[in-house]
Amino acid sequence: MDEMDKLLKDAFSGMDDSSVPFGFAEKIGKKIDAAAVKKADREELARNIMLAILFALLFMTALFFLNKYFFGIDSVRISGIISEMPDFGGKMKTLFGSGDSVLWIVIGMNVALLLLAERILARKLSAREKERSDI
Amino acid sequence: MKREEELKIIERILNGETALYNQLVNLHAPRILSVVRGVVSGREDAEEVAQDVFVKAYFSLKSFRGECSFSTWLFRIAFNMSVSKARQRRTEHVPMEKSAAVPDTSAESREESMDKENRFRILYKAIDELEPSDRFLILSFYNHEKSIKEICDICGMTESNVKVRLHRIKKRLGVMLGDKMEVCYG
Repeated sequence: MDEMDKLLKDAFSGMDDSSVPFGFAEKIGKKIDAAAVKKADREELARNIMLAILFALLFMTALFFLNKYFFGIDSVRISGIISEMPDFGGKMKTLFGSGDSVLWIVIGMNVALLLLAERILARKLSAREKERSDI
Repeated sequence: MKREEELKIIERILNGETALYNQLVNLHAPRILSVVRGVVSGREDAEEVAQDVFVKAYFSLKSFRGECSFSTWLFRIAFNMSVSKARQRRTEHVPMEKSAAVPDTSAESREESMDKENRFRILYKAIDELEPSDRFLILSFYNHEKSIKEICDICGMTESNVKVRLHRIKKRLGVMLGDKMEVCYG
């Protein structure tokens, strides 16, 4: 041990502050309790997420088997449906663009307007009746 | 407390007797507080870090396999936490000399004691300029009398690495002390 070692030892022994503040252990206890609650919450959340993933997987598997063995929808049919998708817009155009469709759309709009007029009239009538009963 | 006793207490804590952890806290708090105060600036911050050391140790107690002493294991946690905290707060570091007490020198002559006092003040300033991990290293070695092997366990360095680092710190402090003494005394 040289002079520098001795000096450092003396210096550190002089600045050694090992006093324990009042309530130090209690504060640690409180922090441990709070951290334990947080940890339990985190674990519960993780468990719930895992359960949700598990149920989603089970549901998807069940649907897959149902489609395959009950409805008979296999991958060939699904790819067929997907390949028909680009035609979907065109099909809709021909469906709603024909003369018969326009007629039915006009009839539907008239019915909707009649229903709207009926609702307005019914509300006005009920308001008038309420006024009379108040008098 | 003997190592076997400590291991038994830890086993009991892990088996559910959590109130026993207070015994370990009361036993190791003075040394952990002392070493953390030497690295982290600000008394309150240092105490906060020391508390966090014990909280982290509590939740990691399962991973303590007894390969080293519990004190060394706690020092390792204290090293990681205090060094990272000190690096965060590096810019607002409170110089060590403010909280440092000069050793009792009543037996020495007034002149000698004043000289020693000055040397200590300069030394504290020099220590204060060291890297937090270096401060932890010399504190563990000189103040807490940890062996080189224990310091290896604490800092995760090889034995030769620790020796070289301690030698460099000592040399650097010597140079800084010399320079500052020269400035003071001409």
